[in-house]
Amino acid sequence: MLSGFLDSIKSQFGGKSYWLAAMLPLVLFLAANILVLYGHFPDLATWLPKADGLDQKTLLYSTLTATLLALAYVLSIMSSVMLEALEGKIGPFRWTSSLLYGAQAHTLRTIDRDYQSARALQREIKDERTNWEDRLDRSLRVSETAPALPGSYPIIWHFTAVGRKMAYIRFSQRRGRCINPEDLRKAVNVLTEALIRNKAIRQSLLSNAVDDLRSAITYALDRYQFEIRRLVHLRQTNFPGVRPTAVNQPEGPSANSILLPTAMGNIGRAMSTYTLMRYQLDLDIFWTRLQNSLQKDAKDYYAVLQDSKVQVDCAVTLFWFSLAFTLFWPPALLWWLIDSTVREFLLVSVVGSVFTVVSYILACQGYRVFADVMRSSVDLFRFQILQALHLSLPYGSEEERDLWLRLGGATGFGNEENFQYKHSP
Amino acid sequence: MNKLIALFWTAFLLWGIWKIEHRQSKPASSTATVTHATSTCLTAAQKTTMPHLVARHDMGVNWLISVSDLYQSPVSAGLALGDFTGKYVGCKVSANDAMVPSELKTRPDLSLATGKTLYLLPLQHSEKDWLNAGKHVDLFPGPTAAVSNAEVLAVICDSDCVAAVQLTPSEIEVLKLTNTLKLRIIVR
Repeated sequence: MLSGFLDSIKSQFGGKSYWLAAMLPLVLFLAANILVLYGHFPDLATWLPKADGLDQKTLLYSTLTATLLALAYVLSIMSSVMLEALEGKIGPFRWTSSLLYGAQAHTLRTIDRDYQSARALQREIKDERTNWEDRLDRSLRVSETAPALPGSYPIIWHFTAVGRKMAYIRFSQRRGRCINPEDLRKAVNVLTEALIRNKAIRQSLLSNAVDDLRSAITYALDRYQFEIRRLVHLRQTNFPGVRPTAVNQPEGPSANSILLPTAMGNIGRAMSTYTLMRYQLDLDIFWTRLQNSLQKDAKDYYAVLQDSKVQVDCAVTLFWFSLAFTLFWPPALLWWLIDSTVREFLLVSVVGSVFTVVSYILACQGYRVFADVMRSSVDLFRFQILQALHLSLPYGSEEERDLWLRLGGATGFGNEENFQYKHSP
Repeated sequence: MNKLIALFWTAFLLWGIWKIEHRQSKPASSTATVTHATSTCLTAAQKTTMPHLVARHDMGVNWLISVSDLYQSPVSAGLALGDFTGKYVGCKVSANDAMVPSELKTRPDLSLATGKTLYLLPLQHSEKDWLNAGKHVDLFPGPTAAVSNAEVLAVICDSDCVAAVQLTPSEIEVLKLTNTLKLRIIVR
């Protein structure tokens, strides 16, 4: 529903969205098709100059230009339909949704599991950190009375258990990877053993290993904290709803976590559930009202929103054109244009499929940015709707959620609600 | 799912490559027949020791020789251009290669590729001057081509000239619906 309403963001005929989101992909698509056809029908090049006389040429070129403009306009009207089709709400991705849901659900489950695992591993490190550091301190003290390291130790260090474990931990830290508590535990074990048997002189292999292991323990904690935030952000921007283990889900038992079959669809749905979860504000109901406030009171911000939407539309249109090109030409080169060569077949297939994949990735990326701008617009300007409706601002966040829920019910579903209006002095 | 699509697409591409290569190898098999038939062709070195004329340009098997295709050399030894013109090339020659009378034929050897049928295309007066064996042509009854990339096997002249082209049965059916005298022939 919301993606249909998003079409109202675009400016009309002749605007930026018309030229960039409709005309540019159309011209590229036509050029690509003519390029393929030209190899088989060279007389295409002589088709236009065949028109005799200035009048005929003027008529021909005018007709072509008018057709192109009209096609681009039809395309710009269809942008919301194309977006919904890419989201999997209608069209081919809807028809094949039973095949696609699995991948989305799997990705979501993986994110949720990784999140749970990161939390558990971080807690494990937190719980054991003091113990590990105590053991290292005690071993260092014992080490002072131990015999010095043999002269050959630096040579065999890398082949010892402690040398190998420390090399692995240093390598993981350098590469910015998560360090498992099990690895840290093993490292502490082998290092304390080595310290008990050998004297750790300042700046020696063993004392450096102790310093690095302490640093790695701190790093591992921070790295898991970063991972937890990354996964939460990934989930919030790419999937609707909240993680299943979240306590006190603000939206209650609702349909927020229902997936769509494509990544684009879930990014779009995440936009709606964000505002529902935080404010109980239903974007399907309030978006056009918020848009009115943005257009009046936040013109610069609205321009940013429009620009993001143009990028999404452009990438979506390019995706559908690339897909049509990729699905049509390779079979056509096999069965219709039988003088085609292997090189031409490969070029068309590979370039077409690469372009399709890249367009889809760009569309998803653009939609993520757009969704974030949308979320920010709700965060920043939602009270403008209340002002426009002559309603008082809520006292606190609890009251706000209650207000949006009631207002949404009254506006969107015709529920009986009683509001007190604020009259201008 | 992505992996499945990628796998399917790769399989389709490989099959497509195989199909195109297989398609292109069909005419090659007919060429092999011709090569087999002309396995008695002499080498360029052998021919230079014999009385010969010299080819101005490359000529394939079944090329109908005209005056402009050959010139005389110091070892022409009484050979005249007239001995060669109106006859067909029996063994492929390259530009500046020697051409000897023993490699000429009075009738062309027409070997068809599998699935192709011979079609005799009447030629206008000027068309026989630039059309010859081995050329590929598009046939235009109107603004669009009815037949694309048809191979000319030979040009045969009696009182009038015709081009022997190999076409698929469906292409012949299309040509039956057109006035062949008004066909425009475009060489590729």
